[in-house]
Amino acid sequence: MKRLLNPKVLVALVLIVGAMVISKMYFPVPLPGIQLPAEGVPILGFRVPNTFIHTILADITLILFAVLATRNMKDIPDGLQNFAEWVIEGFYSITEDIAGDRARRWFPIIMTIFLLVIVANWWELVPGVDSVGVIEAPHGGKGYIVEKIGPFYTVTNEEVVVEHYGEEGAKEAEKGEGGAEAEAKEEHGLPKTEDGREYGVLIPFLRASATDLNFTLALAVISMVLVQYYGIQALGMSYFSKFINFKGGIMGFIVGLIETVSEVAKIISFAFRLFGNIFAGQVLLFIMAFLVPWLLPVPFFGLELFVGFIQAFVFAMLTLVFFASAVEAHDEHH
Amino acid sequence: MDLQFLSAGLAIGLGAIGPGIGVGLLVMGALQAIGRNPEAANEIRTNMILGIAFAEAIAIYALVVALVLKFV
Repeated sequence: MKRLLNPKVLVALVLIVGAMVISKMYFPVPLPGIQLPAEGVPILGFRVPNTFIHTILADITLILFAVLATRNMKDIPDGLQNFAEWVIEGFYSITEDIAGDRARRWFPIIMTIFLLVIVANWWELVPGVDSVGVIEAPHGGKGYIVEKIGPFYTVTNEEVVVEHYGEEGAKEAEKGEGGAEAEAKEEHGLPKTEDGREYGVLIPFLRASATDLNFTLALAVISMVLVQYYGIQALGMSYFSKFINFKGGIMGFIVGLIETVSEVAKIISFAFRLFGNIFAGQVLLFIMAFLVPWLLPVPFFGLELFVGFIQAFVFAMLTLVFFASAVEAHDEHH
Repeated sequence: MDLQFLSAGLAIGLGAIGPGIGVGLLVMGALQAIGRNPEAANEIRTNMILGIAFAEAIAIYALVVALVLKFV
């Protein structure tokens, strides 16, 4: 108690609370329109999902890292090569613990999943992702009042309920590429409220890949198809006796059915685990910045850093565990 | 509209109870195991994280239901 009440701590506390209050009063952050499907960013007349651009960004990051780390390899590694070797060796030893002799074959797949997911997750925490984009006319639902700050435009907290749907809104959207960071046009095609203020919705250029179910579902399907592939490769046709089982009587048959269902359920649980965690994390960050713009979101960024790692690790590890259980002969104890 | 929000809140709120208890039990067991046998800490930790992922999946299903109720 004595240490808590010393003047330095009190001053720091007052400063922190003061900063939070000031930020809440003078620098409010709008709550972004949260929606499940990825927004389409207009590029050259196409609608490119922003989660797809994000995935490409993660790919480029990984390729750059691989090229830079292996550019001039040395026997005694330093710098980036050292880091790359530490990551790969650390993960390889875990793979070996579970997979044994098969570690060499499976490791590339497991590591690819891990690296792609972790890089895609961590890119979400970079400032600008989810917040820099173009402002467009809303296609129905809600819009937000657009304001000008310096050379940029921003959406504010004020909601406008959009009543007109369809053709008109879509036409206006085509013109409305003025945008949050594009240079100002006199008329950027945004609809106006009765009192002459413009409103629109923000289409961010980047949004975490895992907040799009397509990304996580694709990874889950790849993972589970590979599980079947390795199972058949290791056990031949007897792999299917796990699913269609006449030897164990009626109970054995039912257990086989349950196995079949759980194989499908694994895909769903894979996909939704990653999706749910990252989407919830994204919404958490939005809401924390909305509640108190300064300082409060910082610990949550730390949490998301952790969650991003754990989810990537869990995805890779579970894939590995399913591989390992698929190649085990399952009827030898009968 | 109001019921929609209420149901979304209830879905995730009630759905998080079970996994919360589950994760607590898992970590308790893992920490006790590590306390008894510190050399096996790495292996126990890996298995603990996997177990947590399974328990957490249930909460994620509840979250998905809540999201569907709210947004779809």
